[in-house]
Amino acid sequence: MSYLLFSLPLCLVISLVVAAAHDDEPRVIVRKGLKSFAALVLLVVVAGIVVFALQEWTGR
Amino acid sequence: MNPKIVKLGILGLVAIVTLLMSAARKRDPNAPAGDPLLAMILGWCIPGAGHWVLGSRGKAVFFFFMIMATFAAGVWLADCRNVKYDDNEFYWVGQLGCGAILVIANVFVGYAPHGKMPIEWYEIGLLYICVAGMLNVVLLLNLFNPPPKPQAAAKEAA
Repeated sequence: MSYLLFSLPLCLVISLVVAAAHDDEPRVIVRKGLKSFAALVLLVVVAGIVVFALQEWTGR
Repeated sequence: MNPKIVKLGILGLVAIVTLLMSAARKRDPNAPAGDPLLAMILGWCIPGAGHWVLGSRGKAVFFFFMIMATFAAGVWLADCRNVKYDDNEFYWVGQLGCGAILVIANVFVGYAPHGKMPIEWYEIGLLYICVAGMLNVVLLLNLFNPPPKPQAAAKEAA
């Protein structure tokens, strides 16, 4: 759980920086950044669940 | 041969090829004037400085604070120390994108643990530092192909 919490600010930074690199308008940057943030968080959660399931399955 | 030198050589080769490919791409005619190569060198030394040189002042300040905050958070989480090659070679390579900040951090912070943070947070701190470096590399490549100006984009759409 703590790993997920630590990954949230990192996801936000990555989303905003990449969005700002590809657009000039602040409103577009925020909109695209938040969309990327949501997608990244979803990815992190899914990856966390898969890794946790694999660990449980393999017994490590 | 020393494996460290071989790995650094491969890394350097990949970096040079990437830079040459970026430089060889046709530049957008609406891109701001300025030498992207000089901007890139400055941007590697100080995150955001490249965008500052090319005229995107607001973005430059934004990028500087974002990357510095991520790097500082990483150093803090890693018990106020930098990434050592022996600790994790992948994160060590990733942090190289931070440029001159690393030199400053080495002078002020060093590699010795201070014992103030939980040991489990060390890996997370390394990840933050590595991501800061990789994001700066993304920004450096962005200098060669910045987004079109709003007026130019509107003209193209019309």
